Amino acid sequence: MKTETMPQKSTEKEVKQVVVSSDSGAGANPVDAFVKSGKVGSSPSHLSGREHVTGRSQFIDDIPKPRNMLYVKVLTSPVAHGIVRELDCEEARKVPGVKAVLTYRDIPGENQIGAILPDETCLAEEHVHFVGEPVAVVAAETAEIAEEAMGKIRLNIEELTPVLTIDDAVAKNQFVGPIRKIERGNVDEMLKNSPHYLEGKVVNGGQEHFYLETQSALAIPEDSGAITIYSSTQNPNEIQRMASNVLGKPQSEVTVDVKRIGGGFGGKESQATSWASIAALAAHHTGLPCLCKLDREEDMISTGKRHVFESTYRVGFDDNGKILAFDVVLCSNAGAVADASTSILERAMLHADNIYNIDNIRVIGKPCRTNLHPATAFRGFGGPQGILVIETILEIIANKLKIDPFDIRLRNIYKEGDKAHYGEPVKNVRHMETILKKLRHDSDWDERKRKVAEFNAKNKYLKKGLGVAPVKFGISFTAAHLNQAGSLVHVYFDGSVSVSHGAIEMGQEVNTKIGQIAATTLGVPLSTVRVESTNTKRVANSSPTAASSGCDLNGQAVENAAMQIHERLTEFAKTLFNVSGVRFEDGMVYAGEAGKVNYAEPLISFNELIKKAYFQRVDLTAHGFYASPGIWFDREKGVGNPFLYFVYGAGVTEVTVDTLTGQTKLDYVRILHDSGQSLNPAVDIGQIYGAYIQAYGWATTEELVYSEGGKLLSNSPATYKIPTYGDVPTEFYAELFSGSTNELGVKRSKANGEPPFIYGESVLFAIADAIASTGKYPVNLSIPATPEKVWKEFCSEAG
Amino acid sequence: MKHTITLNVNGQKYTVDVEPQEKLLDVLRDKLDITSPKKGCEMGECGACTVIMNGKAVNSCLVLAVESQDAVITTVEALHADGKLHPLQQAFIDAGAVQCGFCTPGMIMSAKALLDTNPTPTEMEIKEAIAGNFCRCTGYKPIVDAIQSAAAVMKKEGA
Repeated sequence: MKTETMPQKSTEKEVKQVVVSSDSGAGANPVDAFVKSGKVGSSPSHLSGREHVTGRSQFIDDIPKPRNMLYVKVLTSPVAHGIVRELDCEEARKVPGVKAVLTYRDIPGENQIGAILPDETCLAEEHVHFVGEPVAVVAAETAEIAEEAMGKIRLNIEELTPVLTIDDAVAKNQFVGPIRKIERGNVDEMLKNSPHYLEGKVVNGGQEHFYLETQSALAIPEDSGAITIYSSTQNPNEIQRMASNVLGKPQSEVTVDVKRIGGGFGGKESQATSWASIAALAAHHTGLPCLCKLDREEDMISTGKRHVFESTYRVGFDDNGKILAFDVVLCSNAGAVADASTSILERAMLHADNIYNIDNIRVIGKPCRTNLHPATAFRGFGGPQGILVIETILEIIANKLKIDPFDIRLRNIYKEGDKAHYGEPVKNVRHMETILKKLRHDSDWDERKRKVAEFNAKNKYLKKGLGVAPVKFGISFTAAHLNQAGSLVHVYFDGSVSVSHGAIEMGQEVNTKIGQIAATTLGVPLSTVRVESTNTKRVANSSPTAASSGCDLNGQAVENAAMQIHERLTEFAKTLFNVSGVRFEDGMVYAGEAGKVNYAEPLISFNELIKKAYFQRVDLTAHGFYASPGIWFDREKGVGNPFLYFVYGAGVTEVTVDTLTGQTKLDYVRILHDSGQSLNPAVDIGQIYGAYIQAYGWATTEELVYSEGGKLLSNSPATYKIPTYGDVPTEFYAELFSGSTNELGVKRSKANGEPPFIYGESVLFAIADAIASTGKYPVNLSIPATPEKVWKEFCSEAG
Repeated sequence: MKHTITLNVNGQKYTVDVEPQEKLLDVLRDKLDITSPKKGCEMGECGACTVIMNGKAVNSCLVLAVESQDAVITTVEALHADGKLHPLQQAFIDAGAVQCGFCTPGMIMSAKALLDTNPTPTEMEIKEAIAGNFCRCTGYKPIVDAIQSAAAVMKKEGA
């Protein structure tokens, strides 16, 4: 059914007027009414902003403690690999105040929490596979008692030699899933026949998520054996599924509820499941509420991180720097269990091309099983590691052939109509070329380059460098079934609106955006819309809030539900007022002949119409659903259409590096990013800043250090350095590309969470450029380019 | 051995029994139900537990409860009055300086301690004041924008 179309204010124009560039400072400007209207395309502030700044927002540990609540502590494996010879809990059970000490033998259901591949126990049985693997659980009246009791558990493990490195795992043929391949053209032939040939290895370190709220779950027993779990998770559906599996209960008896989480970044996509299942197990056994909250060190030691990748490549290219053949083997260190490693490797393989059309390309992926903590989802989900290889290669070729970094990228870039190596047309890639050219202009790249050279000629100890990193990021879960979402929308008798959806609010303001979508679709002010907690009873079978898709998928599901109610109300109003055209706008109802709706005089308020509709028994609730169309991928053949669309963008970084200390300072950063028609430009700009700085940390200071036995030594903020304000660039500009739209995204927007992470790779290239300015080439740098590594490069002889 | 201490939090006097090893953060959260100071690391690195104690920003996880005898402590709960947000609170919302919100109370208290003694800080002074506060979401820029704009508003209001 068609509804009236309002004389359309140009959204695109409005968006441009809003603060899309940070130059003027978000929020500091006088804003026109549209900015705060709450409509899609405007930038209303954080729906929970007031709660957060007044200290009233609750995270798991802030929920008022239920009566008789127990504190749960988890004994984990101190060794990376071994056989459990003794696990004696008797002394621990005798400690006064201890209510339960549990091992795998106390699991009533299946001791299995691996969501993709069933290789992960909730509590270790005969073997332990990594340092930090949960072994036994204590539930006690206070955290101190639980701690004391944990010390009395006798755990004897016969140590086995752990496998810690990718090389070792490959040699022993240890993988968490199948080795995959994507190939087109004739790679071997072209490698032989190319005018130039290069081979090498690209290595990146892992990364700790360091969400500020550590892993936490509160499990509360309910009537008739049911359990409700409040969890800091990005994936309530998986927790519901796995906790019910562990407890041997139907999913209907386990409810998971999430109001918000204190940061996730992928680290709570599957890694929250253990702690929630353990809290639920303790609640099941004791019949009392149980809180399991990890402290920082426990969290850092036990939980998953970004994958280390070691990738070997061979590449053939011509005199112009055009790549003719590319052969790469991507090896990821998956840790001890599969977790999401197969999907992460798949995304890395699907992004090995980045923005470049390579006719002859072979990408092989090996997910290596080792005895480290699991590696897991982290913003970008393999994309950053895959892209890093080809971008590094282009940097090397550019240096070798003395081609400008922008020029070499433009010479290799996809053209509209080209297909990616897995066969999907790279739609709208023409924007990528426009973005690169505009960014080159806006960042004064050529002039900047000249000034950098001038600076370097004059300065002996400080050296400047420039780098650029573009991105084409595929949007959709590559596991096609996950591309679905549900919602539940109620309009109450007084006209206020309740919206439930399956995504998790973790600071990306998915609730703000989805509130905007509901308000815009229903034609009511955002202030009348309440976005609820995410609850498995209101929305079932939701996908994780991941793959940048939270708003894309759930926003469409909410739009679908709101549209159903909107259509019912439209029909009702037409009959009621005997008109052929009806329009809802800002809480008012306008009507008239179809195509000639009178916008001067509202007929009735939305709230009044709702009362009338209720008495006429119009259904004011709707369940919405969305499934992304046309997505498929054949893993065996390495072909398909895995992505609904692509996000494009690029970032430029200028650094100054101190040759005597190896320290890097960010002088200038400019980013141009494609958000389609942004749902909320201020939120999208905020995501870009945050992602860039997080990636800068990965690229420079965040170093994971392990003992020879495989224990994480950089296991606290004292030894693992995430960026602080001191790392923020002197000049930091992020702008949304205004030339793009997206008919496949919700309200023509594009997903925004992960793609900007790639821009941080430009830091690595800028540092390498600074080092190269001393005549040293090739530069031997890997992520993280810590001051120590950078300093060593300056010290070492030119190769 | 338990100690009985008296402290003033957000204008209210409390008398509580504490263990010698107990931290101010735990007293605030578990005994006084003031939960805006967060447990982020419990080792004085992340700043999520920052409160103002006798005019200075402190990591409440590093302050022994017994040290807070007779102390005057302010947490973010006390910043807004009569439904009106403090300029810092409003600026954090307006500038998009809040994402997940976990670091926000501590960050605002560090900023407030700065502005209370230095109403017109330079960027370098702001940088120093919040150097001990981690934020993993925002990339910090909006936070500094917020502190600068709050300083301007406070100057105008003569606050």
